[in-house]
Amino acid sequence: MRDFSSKIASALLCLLSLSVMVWATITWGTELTYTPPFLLGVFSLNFRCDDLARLFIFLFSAVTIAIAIFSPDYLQQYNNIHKGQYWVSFFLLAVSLLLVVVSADAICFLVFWEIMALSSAALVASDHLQKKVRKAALIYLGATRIASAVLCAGFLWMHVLTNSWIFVNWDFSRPSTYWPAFLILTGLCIKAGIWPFHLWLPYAYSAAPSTSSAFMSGFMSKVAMLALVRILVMGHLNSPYVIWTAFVLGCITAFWGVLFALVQNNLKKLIAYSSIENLGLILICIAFSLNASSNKQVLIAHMALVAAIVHCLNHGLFKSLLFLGTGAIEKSAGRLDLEYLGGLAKQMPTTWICMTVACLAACALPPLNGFPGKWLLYQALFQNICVKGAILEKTASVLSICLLSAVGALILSALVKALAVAFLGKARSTNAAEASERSIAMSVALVFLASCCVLSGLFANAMLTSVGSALASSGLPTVRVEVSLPTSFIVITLIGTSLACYFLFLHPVKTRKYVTWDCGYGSLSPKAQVTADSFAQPSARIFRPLLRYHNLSKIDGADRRHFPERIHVETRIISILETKVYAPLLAMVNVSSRSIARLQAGSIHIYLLYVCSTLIILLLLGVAF
Amino acid sequence: MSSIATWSSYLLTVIIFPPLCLGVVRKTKARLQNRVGPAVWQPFFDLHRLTKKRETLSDTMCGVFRLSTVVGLSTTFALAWFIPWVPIKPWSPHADIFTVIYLFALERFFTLLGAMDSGSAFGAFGASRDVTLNLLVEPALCLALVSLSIIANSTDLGAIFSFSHFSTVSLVWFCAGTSIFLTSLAELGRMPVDDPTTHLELTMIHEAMTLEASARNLFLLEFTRMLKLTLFLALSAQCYLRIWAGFATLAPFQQELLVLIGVLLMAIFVGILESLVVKLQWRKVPEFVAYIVTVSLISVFVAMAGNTSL
Amino acid sequence: MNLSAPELCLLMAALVACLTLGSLHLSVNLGLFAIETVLIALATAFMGGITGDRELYVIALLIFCFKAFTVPLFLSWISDKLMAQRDIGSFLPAPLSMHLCLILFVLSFALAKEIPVSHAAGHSWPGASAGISLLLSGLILMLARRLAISQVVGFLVIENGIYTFALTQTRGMPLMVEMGILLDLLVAVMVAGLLIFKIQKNFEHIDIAQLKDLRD
Repeated sequence: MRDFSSKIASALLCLLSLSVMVWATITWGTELTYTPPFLLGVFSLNFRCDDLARLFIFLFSAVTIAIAIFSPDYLQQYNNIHKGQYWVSFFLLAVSLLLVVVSADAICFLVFWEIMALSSAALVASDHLQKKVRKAALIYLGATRIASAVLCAGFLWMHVLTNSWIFVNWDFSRPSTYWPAFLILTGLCIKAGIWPFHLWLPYAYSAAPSTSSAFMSGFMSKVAMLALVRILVMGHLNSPYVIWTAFVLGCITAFWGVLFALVQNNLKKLIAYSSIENLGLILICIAFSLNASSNKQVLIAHMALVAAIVHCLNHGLFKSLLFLGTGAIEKSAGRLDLEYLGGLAKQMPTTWICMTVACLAACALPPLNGFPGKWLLYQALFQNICVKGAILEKTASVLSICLLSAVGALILSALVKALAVAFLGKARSTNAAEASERSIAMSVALVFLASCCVLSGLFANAMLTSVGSALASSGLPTVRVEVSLPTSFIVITLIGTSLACYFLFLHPVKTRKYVTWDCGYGSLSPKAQVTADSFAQPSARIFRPLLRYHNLSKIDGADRRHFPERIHVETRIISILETKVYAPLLAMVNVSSRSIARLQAGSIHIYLLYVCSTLIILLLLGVAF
Repeated sequence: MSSIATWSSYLLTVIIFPPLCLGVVRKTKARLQNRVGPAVWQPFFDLHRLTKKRETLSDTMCGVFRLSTVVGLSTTFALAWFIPWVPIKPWSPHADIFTVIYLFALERFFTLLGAMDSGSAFGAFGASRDVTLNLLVEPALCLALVSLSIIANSTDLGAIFSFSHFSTVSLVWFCAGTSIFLTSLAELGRMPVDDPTTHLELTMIHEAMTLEASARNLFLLEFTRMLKLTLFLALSAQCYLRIWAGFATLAPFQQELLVLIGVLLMAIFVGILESLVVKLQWRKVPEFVAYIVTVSLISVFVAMAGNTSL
Repeated sequence: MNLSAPELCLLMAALVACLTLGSLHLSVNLGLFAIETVLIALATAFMGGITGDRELYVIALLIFCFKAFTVPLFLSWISDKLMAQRDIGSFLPAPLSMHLCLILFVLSFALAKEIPVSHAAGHSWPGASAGISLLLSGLILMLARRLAISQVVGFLVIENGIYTFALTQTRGMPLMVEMGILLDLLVAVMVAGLLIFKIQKNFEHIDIAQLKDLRD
């Protein structure tokens, strides 16, 4: 019975996203504004839907449809999740996200932003009987509270300066607006998981059910970036301090995320860190665009902004695919620890192919959809080196090209590690050996998202132009970008030569099956395979000082060199930020709140005294000023 | 020149040159070690022999292994198509440097998956080291190509290698050429980084990754590697040739001839280098790669200074 | 960007100084330092050719004899004596410090452009940036190394930077001052050499990172 209601909910969600998508397609090219006839307190709500918002609505529909199809079968494995609660929070989250995307003033934005934060926290806490999940939900809730507080402060400040709540009226080009701009940037960065505020993200994404992490990573984090574009970029921010802070934060985030992704052994955490990396890239794009437009280089600014939006959309697609694929593995193999997986490719071919597509896209490899955004960012950076400008900025561009290529190589190694250890070789545990595709609906969802990834990769040029026109219609200058991706050429050459090679060399050949080469020792145990740890070790060693990477090995036995009896190897990574910065900070907060807690005496008279004294003080203040 | 002649000369170079380069490297090494050594044509015979053997696959493998060899070769062919590594090409598409770099990454992605498909520890360790090396080398290659693009003011490789007034920036060509050459040594696991002639335990990267490949699969893998070597050598040879400003004014077939001779000379140089240099300890490799990055950085900065807009 | 001969020499000297950071071998360091100083001497001589100032030729000769020849030889003799061939390196790995130095080399261009121009003839901002870059390279060399001999090399690179800056901004100092500085330098290096011997004798190493043990 419960299952049935799950299916109804999922059908409703599909219907919602389909209808939103159809609506967005019909109204494409027009700018709609709507002000409801009622007031919220003394404030009127303003909604505005332009093409930029519609692009995000398309992303929303694609991600939501896949998740709606995926959810009912996926949720069966959780006995402790209350399905009704899950669906209610999911609906709340979906609707509030849609309304955040189209909200045009600060009050409206904040209201739905809060609903979004709370409902997503409820989603993270779905499986709340586990201690780990409760801790993650608490961390996430704390992060969103701080984010909202900072954001509120920024909004209020802007209201004081401009006397308006509507985003369009906010102009950030005056020096007095730099501090509120900084506050807004911080608030949105906390929500998006930008370094050094990224700590909540791996906790929350790995504790939440895969469907909600897919939605949060695929769509919710993008909304923070959209807000950044809407408020700061369209508000013509030109403070070099804020822009360079954002740029440096983006660079550090991209590198930091990918570095920690490399050494994770839990599939979900690995993907969560890679999503931090991608958000860093998007932030780099936005900051770079801001910088270029404050230097009056319209073309570069436009290219970088298009790169940001395109990467938002594409990252949303492939990252939700990655999380859903993880969910499929979780359902059939029971665990997500890479050390317990292996050999899944044969048992779960659909998941394997879809995950390979997602990983190819996440590594930004050419015919797929991760590539266009990154490529355009590279182009923008390169253009910046070539035009007239300050040496400092050019050097920064050179260094960020260097950083981007290193990040690209690192993410490749991290995702190859995840993919190969989980899907190739032999199963490392019985659960993994018995895994199989469990549900058709889940496979359908995966294939749907994978084909979205492939299609948006193939039609990348069309996507770039439509994003460009959407930006132009949202009030930014229209620019024609001369460069275009040679996608069709790549695809034709690749497919043509691949088929030719296959039929020339491999097709009719008879093959002989034999065991993997075992050096003559007889059958290899699955334990003899390379683990995720050992795969990442040579790369992690290079970044030892940053990761605090320790590899302890102890070999016991009488003649330990030749006949070891027991080998103990332990790898340890310490997140400096967590232990050296956040832990003391948290301890301080704890101590201070304990002393504040003394105010709570439990006696009603004392409370009344508080109320009375506060009232008197306020009255006195009112008289004095 | 008629299109048929262009096509046939291009196809001949793309098929004959890769094995020939390897043959020249081996011959040079043999002569320097006072051996007669196999003929320079030997790699052709080796490849031919591989196509006639029967293929053995591990029973742990899923289909990705055979796919990986095919995709690897086809990506490298696409690259040979993209990159203007010889002046005479039937049709030059717009070859953007960043696309080229990411196509190399595509080839690597599949090679790595193929290496790990059998569940063999050899393949996986080879893959792990390859990934590490690539992580270090990628910025160097990227910066070297960026420096060339800066002086040409375009990211199109075709435009870069047809650009014709270079009197002031020959230092960039030199640095970028050196950087690409050293990158190819590191990327393809040649001497100061890895010894390609030994087997298994001693060779750490490439041979370990191809351990499970046999017959035609091995053929595809080996040819991919040879082609990659040739592409890199041809690019660096062109960079060196362009130090001489008169190169751009020559007729295409003269350029073609010079580039091909240049590639063979580079191959001989690789042979000499491999006989003289000892293999670096694995932990010293990052230091070696850091010098490549330095050369690339110098190249970019000189290019920035040479660019008139500074 | 059009460079005159002395500017080219000085920029190359600054580049060589950056490369010095890349190796931990003392002999390589000293060799590169010698090349760098020869380049600076050449620049001085070219400058003399351009301005027709005879004194500059004398200074170039002096630099060549003392700084490019005697000092490196003396230091390599010391390192032979102490059997120190390789520096241990400190917190920053050698290749990374080289990259850092290269980046600072470029940034020093940005800095040199901001220097208020004294419109006197001979002011050249590439020369000034070479000077700044040499100075920074010397500082980073001293920061990133632990052996006392490397500290002396770093100090000498800094001195080269200051000299370069003076040469390009004010056409060099009078001959007497220059000779005095060179003499001072020679004496300083000799004293430093003696001190290094003394440190080696007393502590049985010349690792300056361990000098903090001397703190109370």
